[in-house]
Amino acid sequence: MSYIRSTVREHGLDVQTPSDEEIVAAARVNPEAFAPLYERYVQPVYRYCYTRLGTSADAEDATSEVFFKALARLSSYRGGSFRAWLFAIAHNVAIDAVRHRRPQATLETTGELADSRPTPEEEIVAITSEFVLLDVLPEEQRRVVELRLAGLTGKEIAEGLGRSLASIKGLQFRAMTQLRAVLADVTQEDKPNDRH
Amino acid sequence: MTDIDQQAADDLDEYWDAVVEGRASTSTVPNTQFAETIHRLYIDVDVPDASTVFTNRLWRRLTVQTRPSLPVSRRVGALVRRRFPSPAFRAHRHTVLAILATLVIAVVSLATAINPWAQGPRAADAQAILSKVRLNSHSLIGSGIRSFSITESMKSWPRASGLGALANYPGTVQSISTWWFVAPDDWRVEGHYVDPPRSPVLLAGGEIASAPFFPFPGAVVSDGHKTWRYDERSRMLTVIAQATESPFVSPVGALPPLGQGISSLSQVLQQARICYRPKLNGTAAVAGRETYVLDLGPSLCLAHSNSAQEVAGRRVIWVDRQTFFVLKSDLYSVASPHTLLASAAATNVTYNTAVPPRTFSFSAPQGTTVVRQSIMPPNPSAHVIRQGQPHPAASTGRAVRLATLRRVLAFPLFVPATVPAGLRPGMPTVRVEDTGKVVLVTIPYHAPDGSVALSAEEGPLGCCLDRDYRKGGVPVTVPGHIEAHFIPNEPQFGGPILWWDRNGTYVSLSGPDLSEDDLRGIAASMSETTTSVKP
Repeated sequence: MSYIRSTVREHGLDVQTPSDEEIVAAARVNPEAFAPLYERYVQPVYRYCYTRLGTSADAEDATSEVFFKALARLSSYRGGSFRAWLFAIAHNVAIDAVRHRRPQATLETTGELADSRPTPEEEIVAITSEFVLLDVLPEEQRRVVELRLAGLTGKEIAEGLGRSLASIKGLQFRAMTQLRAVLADVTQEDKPNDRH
Repeated sequence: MTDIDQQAADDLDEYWDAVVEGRASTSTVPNTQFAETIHRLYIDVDVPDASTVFTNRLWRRLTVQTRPSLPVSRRVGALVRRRFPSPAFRAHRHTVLAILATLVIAVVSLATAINPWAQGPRAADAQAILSKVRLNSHSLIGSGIRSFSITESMKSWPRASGLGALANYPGTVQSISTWWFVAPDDWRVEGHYVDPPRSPVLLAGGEIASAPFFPFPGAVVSDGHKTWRYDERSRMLTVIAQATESPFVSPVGALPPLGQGISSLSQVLQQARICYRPKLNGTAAVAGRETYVLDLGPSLCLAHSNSAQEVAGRRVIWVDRQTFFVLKSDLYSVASPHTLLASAAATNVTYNTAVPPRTFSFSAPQGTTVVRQSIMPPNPSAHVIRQGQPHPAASTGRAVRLATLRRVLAFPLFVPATVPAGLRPGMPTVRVEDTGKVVLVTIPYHAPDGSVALSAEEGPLGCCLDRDYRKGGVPVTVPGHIEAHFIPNEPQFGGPILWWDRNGTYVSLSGPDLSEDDLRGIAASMSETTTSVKP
């Protein structure tokens, strides 16, 4: 995105950042005016999709779909938090993606490998895979936490999911209570000498 | 929920809103473990960023998809029909439009003649020209260049540098290179020497290159998905399994040619405002293009450099008046501003013309050794995080388990037991030959801001700096009776390097802000058996 960043910053355009609503209004007339919003949200949307779907390929597909839909539906945006509106699209795209997901191969067949043993690179990736905390949460609570990690406020999550703020607070509270308990157990096992 | 729970839920929500929005929280968050849990969540749920290649491609698809599909002529026709429904007018519309067009052209020409700004920056403002050149290095597409092809000729006179390694070089080094580029990420560079040069040589950017590191003959090609780097002399092809950033993103235009010269001109331009006092010396034609001639003078920043004297001399560049590409570059000796060391000039330039797609693929000739380089995902802690978010590096240290990597290496792997406080090890990268042999391991250590503060590189004996004819650096001894070499590079060149051979392994440590003592201390702590890193 370097060319967009430089266009905004280095060619002396207005230093005040327009609001999401102002950019949407401009983009309804000229879709290319959507660029600042794209730049602002493509990474958070991608990371959210990655958290939901687990692979970069699926995250890229989902992110693409989110932005195509967003551009196609700009006329339906009626104000309020654009981020909540966009992530509501992302939430639904992720749901559809999970429903339609086909079984994935664990290794790409490149034709160059002589056998099926993992390559040194794959072993390195396996070394550093992290314990996935969010797996312990029920789906509703997990959705809230994932949207939090994507950068949404409580109100935006409520707006995006079509639920009350009180409901979101409750889901969030229960999620964090459970995660706190899990982390307390993990910390007990993670003794300083256990490094070899 | 009870009142207490409701209060706790409200506090938690407010606290997390503050984290997300990067502001101070107004809540008291009576249970600090919630705050710790949130912080731990950000640390443990590491998610990579989307690649630049993907985001650029998606944007391109989005804008193509939404662009109006009617050709311009039909849109104009429709507009005319709406605005001028009179049959009489429409019968004579061509005449009317021709008259209108003539009037518009006349008005614009008059305005252009009166308004000097319409012709670009004022001719007297050398710094403004240089700034535009620098802007182009960040945004070729932003400058309106969708494609180009440039052929350039380079000459250098190594003996004129006065540098010990080149003092006896008898003649001139000449090369010819050609560059192609189609936005956003298709590019190709290939070149050859007019006569096979002796080692070492002086490149157009002023760097010295020894035989293993000659940029020519060969080619570098990228199609937006992968990159091929072909060394014709050694008949070796390196295939990198992703698109690397085009050399044009950093340097402007095509000068200097392949090799370290690319980054040196980029650095010249990057530091233009700080390190140079440019003067405009009129205009001239290069390859049929009108150019501004800018005399940058010597580098004010590198004048006292102890590792880059050859690039510190006076530079003169010729800048395309329309595109602000550098079409010619002369480098002079530090010792004498009139002694030319190297000159590169475009001999053929085309902009925004069609380039055959097959230009951006590469097939290895028979008998080529193929090395496949794997790029590991970036360390998630290198994300730029919003203010207020817990920093990924705020956790207690975690072990770097390299036991599996050790099993597949043909040389011993050394890992530091102690590193400067605050550094966190990242995911290693490996370069793997087609046979599956690992030829280089790089282990990054990240500072809290995500930057690479320390880099450890290890390979088989005789690789890397060990291959360089200079055996670069000052001999030093590291505690433990290790004979090493220390290269005092400045931070902008990657920082100092400490390298040595040990038990059949080449090892190097470097970091932009590390001192010789830092590197020696880290080196002394490295052993084959250590698997943990203490913060």
